[in-house]
Amino acid sequence: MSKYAQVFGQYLDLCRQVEGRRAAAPLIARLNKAGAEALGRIAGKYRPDPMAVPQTRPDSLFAPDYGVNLMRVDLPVDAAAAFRCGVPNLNSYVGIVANDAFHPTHSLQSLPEGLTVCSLSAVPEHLVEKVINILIHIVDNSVETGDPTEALNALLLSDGILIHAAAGVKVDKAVQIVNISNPATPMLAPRRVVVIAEDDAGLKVLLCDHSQAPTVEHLSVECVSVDAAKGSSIEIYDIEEGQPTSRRAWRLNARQADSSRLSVATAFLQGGISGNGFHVECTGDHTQTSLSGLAICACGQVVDNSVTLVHKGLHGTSRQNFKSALYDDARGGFGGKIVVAPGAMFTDAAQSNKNLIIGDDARMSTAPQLEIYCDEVKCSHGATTGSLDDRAMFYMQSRGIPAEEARRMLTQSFMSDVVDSISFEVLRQRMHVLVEKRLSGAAASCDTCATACGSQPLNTEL
Amino acid sequence: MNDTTPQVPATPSESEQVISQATSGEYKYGFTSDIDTDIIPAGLSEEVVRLISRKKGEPEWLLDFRLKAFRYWLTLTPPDWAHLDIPPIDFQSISYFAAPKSKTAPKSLEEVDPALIDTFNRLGIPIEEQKALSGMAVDAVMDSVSVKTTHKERLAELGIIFCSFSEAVREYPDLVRKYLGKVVSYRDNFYAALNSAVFSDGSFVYIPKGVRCPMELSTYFRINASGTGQFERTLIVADDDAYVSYLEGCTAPMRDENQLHAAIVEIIVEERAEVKYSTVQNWYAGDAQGRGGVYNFVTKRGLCRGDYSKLSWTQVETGSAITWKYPSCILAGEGSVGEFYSVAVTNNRQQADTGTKMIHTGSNTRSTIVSKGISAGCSQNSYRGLVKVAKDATGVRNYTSCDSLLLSDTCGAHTFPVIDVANPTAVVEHEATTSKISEQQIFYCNQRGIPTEEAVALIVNGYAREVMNKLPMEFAVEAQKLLAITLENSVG
Amino acid sequence: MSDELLKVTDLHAGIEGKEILRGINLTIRPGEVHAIMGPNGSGKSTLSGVLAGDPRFTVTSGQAVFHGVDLLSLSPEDRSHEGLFLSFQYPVEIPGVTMVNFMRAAVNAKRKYLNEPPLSANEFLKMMRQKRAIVELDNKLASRSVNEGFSGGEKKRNEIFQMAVLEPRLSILDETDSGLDIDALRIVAGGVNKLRTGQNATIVITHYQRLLDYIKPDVVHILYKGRIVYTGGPELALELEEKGYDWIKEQVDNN
Repeated sequence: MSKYAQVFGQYLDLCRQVEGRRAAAPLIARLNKAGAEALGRIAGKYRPDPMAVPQTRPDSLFAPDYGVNLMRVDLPVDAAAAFRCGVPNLNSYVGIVANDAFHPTHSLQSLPEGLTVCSLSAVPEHLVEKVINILIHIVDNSVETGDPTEALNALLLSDGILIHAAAGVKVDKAVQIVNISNPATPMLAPRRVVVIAEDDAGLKVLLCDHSQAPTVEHLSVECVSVDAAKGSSIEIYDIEEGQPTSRRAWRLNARQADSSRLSVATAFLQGGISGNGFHVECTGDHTQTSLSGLAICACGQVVDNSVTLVHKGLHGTSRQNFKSALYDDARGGFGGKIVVAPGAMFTDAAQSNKNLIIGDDARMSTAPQLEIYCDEVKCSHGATTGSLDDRAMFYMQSRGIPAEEARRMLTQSFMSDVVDSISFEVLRQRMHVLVEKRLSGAAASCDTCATACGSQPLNTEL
Repeated sequence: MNDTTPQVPATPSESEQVISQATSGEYKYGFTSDIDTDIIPAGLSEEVVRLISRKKGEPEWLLDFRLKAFRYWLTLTPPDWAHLDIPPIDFQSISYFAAPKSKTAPKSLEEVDPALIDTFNRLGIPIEEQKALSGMAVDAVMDSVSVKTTHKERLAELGIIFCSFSEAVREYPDLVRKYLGKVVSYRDNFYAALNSAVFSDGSFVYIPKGVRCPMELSTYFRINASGTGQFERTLIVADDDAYVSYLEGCTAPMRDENQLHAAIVEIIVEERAEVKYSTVQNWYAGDAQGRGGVYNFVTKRGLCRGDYSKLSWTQVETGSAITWKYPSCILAGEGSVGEFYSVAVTNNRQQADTGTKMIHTGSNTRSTIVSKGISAGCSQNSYRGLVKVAKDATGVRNYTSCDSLLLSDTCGAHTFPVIDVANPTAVVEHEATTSKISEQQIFYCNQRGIPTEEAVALIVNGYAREVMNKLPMEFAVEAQKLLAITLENSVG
Repeated sequence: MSDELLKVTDLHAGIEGKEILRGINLTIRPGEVHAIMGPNGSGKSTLSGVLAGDPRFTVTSGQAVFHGVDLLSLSPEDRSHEGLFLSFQYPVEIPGVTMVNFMRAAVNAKRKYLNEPPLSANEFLKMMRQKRAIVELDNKLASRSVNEGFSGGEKKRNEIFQMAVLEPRLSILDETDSGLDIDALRIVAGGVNKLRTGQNATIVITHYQRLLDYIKPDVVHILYKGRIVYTGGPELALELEEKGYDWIKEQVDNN
């Protein structure tokens, strides 16, 4: 058995040991089965992506011997006390996921007509087939790409969340899912959010990742499964504020039908090692897609964002904007692939990846890619990696602004267009503050790093 | 000697006609020459490697080098990471040595087989000294063996060595031994290992300290014999403050079978020296259905070892059924400069995966990459590149611009750059765009009386101008015509 | 001597190993305006850069004492806090940083250096309004990114506006007249003149006499090949305007 087959096989073995004893709803049980089959096929043929930062590859992230709460042992979590999310006062519908278990809050008890937010084990009857079809399609597709993360999540999942907007229902308030990790021993938490907008529906989803386990290594395996029907609009925001001990394998899989709009923005503000994958298929015509990400990494933090965006329909438009600022010995990776399938005429796809290397030992690897099989298209990508503009630094210093502050201001302005592209206004304002605070913390990070690693300026404030 | 009737050598105007006629149709270099050839049986084994070495009368150390490479090659599998669909190659069905028969190496032009001279004349390559008016020294390589090198004496006066690789092994063994495999190790990749085991001939260039080579040096490669592969090796050394501009051209006959070409080019650039390496690659590309054509798997790399040295690659890739090549620069010397200018055109069923690697290990090193891909028909055309900045290399600059032009809705144009930066003082920029020729542009030309085919050639040449301008004059004209020919019937 | 604001002694400096300043001596007293003129490539911008601490240049020997402080040992920002201001020949564009944030950071950094409390938002905005009037700077510029999309005239006025805000003891105007039409030139010069007091001083670096019609110098220096080769009164500038630099070059090159 290959090294990789062993890494992924340990989870198959684990599930086999408890086969028939996992108490799961039929939907989840079917997903577990699909995951087992898919993983069985991937594990043998897995080959690590040579472009990805090694620490963020599935074979590295899944290698440690984590515990998985397959038997649903009740782990006490004081969700309310634990909840100190960086984005308060949103007036949102809030659900909390403590490690891998969903806890609805009061705000979910009175949802507007046509909006469903529920556990995957309590999906309304008329939606079960739809949900399972979407998920099985995603898991089966992942066999093709060879990425085991979706299959592993499907195999191990015990709970998850469905966010569903019925046809024509436009929800103004955001649905906010706060993920909290606080295991006592090294633990793997599978999490899944299914976001479905039916024809002409509209949804905003905010995902916040938190950790309160600064001394215990923990891996969250998070899959966001998105289905945007005709004319629908979905916005997804993801903010990561973990601990140096946090490990994250995050996958967004989305399918877009005619005239749908999808906007995804992620921000890495704190954490340990974070490997994020975006896979968006624009199957319909006239789709609009916007993907963005910012990462501020210092002292040993590693973030890799990898995008595959496939245009299959006519007149698809997509924009990607990813930025990172790397301090100390942080490592960043970006892989971005735009695929324009044969016949996907009038596609207009643009991608930008810009990186600041500020630390002497920091390193950035970038692999923007275009695969184009159709001539009637407009595609471009641009990537830059470099330091802060030294002319701007000197200009600011000559006006009396200390080097440290000049650096912070320039970095913040470097990030500002990613934040400005957040159309959700309250969140945009909040993000500006969070980035500024993070940069103030990051600047002084390694000298003062004990356990919280520069996160103190953020958390004490909130 | 064989019994071919000596032919009157073509006059210069006839040579020009060959080129001008080339604009009118399909692959013009697809003839075969009836030349008596010494071919060893197909197959590859340690015995064959020893046989090649023996036939060439090589010293023991070179045989050792070949055997080491061969044994290493046995442990490898062909690379499959490129965006190429490569049919399995039976390496045992290829003959690894084919040489035009002659008793001894020709001492003067009179001794060269007239059929060979004719072959090169039909290619428009002046190997006759008196006709080399363009001021170009030529080394002509037919199948595996260097046939004739021109202008040698004049170059020798300046201390410049320009000769076939075999001759260099005999005459300058110390120089060859010092540099062989130092930039492209036999362990580098599958095809480099294969070449190192079975390489037949090639060119060797040494420019001594402070010498600016007064003429373009040029090698023309020709695969003629059927069922053979070509495995040549080029080694160029520019000593301190030297300068040389080197041109490489290649053609092959039209055959239904696929022929393998696996070459190595190694370049060493010492302090303040400059090497310009230009290629116009026009191996037979196969027919419109994708039958036949050359598999072109080439490893080209230069080491800018000296401070403030400079290496510039310019390539116009129009031929080959499959191209797999990445002319690269290792920028080790302080302030050294690497450049890569490429036009790659693919039509019909051609596949190209080409690009460059710029490895910055020295401080204040700079590199520029300009790649223009043009795809037509059902072809697949990929740019693949790596820009790497080592941790200790400060003040590095790179600028990459990478454009693709699509001429049909059934072709593919792809871009796979990798940028890896480990030093905070680096500035690395990459830009890529994809576009097609607009109907408005064609219509505008049509309205002014320019037929569509000509309009496409015009627009494509304009698009590729930035790269074409880097070619030496003699090559630029030829390259422009090649672009036009390659793209004939590509716009429906 | 207490009445010396800046004393430069035998200053040598260069860029990338190439010596450009080959022994500059210069003394400036409070209230004075010094013009430094010279042909292209004589080292004028190097001198201003070296005094302001531009990291591109390396000082190889010599001294610069600024009201008793060893200027060359200070970071660029501390030179600014000590009262040195450089109006850049090519003001740098900083996308994404608004003028308001930029200036507030500058003002409060200086106040911190001087152990003063930061200005409140109201006080700061009030000061910005006052200072803006000096160079007739459009209110809208305040919300735009630093120098981004500014016209040539706006950039130079923006420099003088910053000078007004930071109230320097010594201002170096590096080719402030380049690229300005006559109206912009008048406004910029007017701003400089309004800011003159008996306590501060100005160095005007220029290629042409034109600016000196508006900012009257007390002393004119001619810089050539990295040395001050000639020092005189205002009449020297007029002489240069008339006769060009060739007679100076001849004199120096023949000695």
